[in-house]
Amino acid sequence: MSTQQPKWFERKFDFSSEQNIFPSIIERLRGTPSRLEEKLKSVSEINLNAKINGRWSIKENLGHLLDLEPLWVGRLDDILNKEIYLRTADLTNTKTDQANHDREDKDHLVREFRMTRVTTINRLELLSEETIFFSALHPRLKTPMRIMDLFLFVADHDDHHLVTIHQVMQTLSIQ
Amino acid sequence: MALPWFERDLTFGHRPEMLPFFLERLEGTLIRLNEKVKGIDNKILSERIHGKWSVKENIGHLAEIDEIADRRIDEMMAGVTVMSPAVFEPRDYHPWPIERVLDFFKSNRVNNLKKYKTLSDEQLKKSSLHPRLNVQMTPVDLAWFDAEHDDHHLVKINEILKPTRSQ
Repeated sequence: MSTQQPKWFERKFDFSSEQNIFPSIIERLRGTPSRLEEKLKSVSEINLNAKINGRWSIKENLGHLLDLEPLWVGRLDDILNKEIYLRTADLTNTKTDQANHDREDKDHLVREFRMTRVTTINRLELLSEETIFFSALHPRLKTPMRIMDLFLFVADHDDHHLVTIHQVMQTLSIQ
Repeated sequence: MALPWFERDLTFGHRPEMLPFFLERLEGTLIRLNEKVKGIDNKILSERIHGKWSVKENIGHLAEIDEIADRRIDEMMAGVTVMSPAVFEPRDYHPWPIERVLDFFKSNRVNNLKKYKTLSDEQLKKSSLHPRLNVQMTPVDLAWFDAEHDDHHLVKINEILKPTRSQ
């Protein structure tokens, strides 16, 4: 298996499904904190902070997931508030670059992420079937994004960073 | 409530470079299952509610599906026209402790993950016909299909255990 991982901004998404697959998406979102905990449980502090070719460290990838949760929840609010456009994302990821996640304790970051994600899921579980098909326009793509699409996007984004962490670990020979 | 699996509209044709993401999902299932059943009484894990599969049967079913996936990958590589059919009614896992059911799943899953990782880019483009869906499927499609199927059964398990957790 030698295939090159596509960059996040080059990824193509299919948001055409008319079926309600939201329960499966919630289940994926619920699983991310445990997957992160398991992946990182035996990684040394040096390796958690290692930057390969100037790219984000493992902790920065983890912190980035935590940094973006308010954006996802904010976009949920945008749709529920019937805004025309979803709020914009900072495509340069300044928040993560400036957060200095490498100085934080890994277990603290994972714990924070778990707590934040549980809060998100608690909100999602209250949404009616009708509501998950509500949408607003994506600010960059100018196409409608429904709540179901938004959180499928989040689940894929989680996986993207889990794969990135896996690759950093492989490079550091700790896999 | 999960949409019945056989009613899911599934679109294939996933590109080879997506395989690492699907393998990451397949690898994560064991951890998610462990987390779901942690601290849950054996009686609850073996219980059939309204005649539906128990938690142990859901997990055992995933392990059996991995046996089929293992065979299907071999069939694609061998150029077999139509892949083996799926399995439906699970074996009886109720006498087994949950650890054994999870170990059975883990063993099959680890085996499949290793197999996927040995495939070359050329092999990832090979395909065979799925017998029920009547569509051509590559190993990359199969990995995605099984990751979606895992999520479906995790939803089922969650539906069984949610009342227990909220008590």
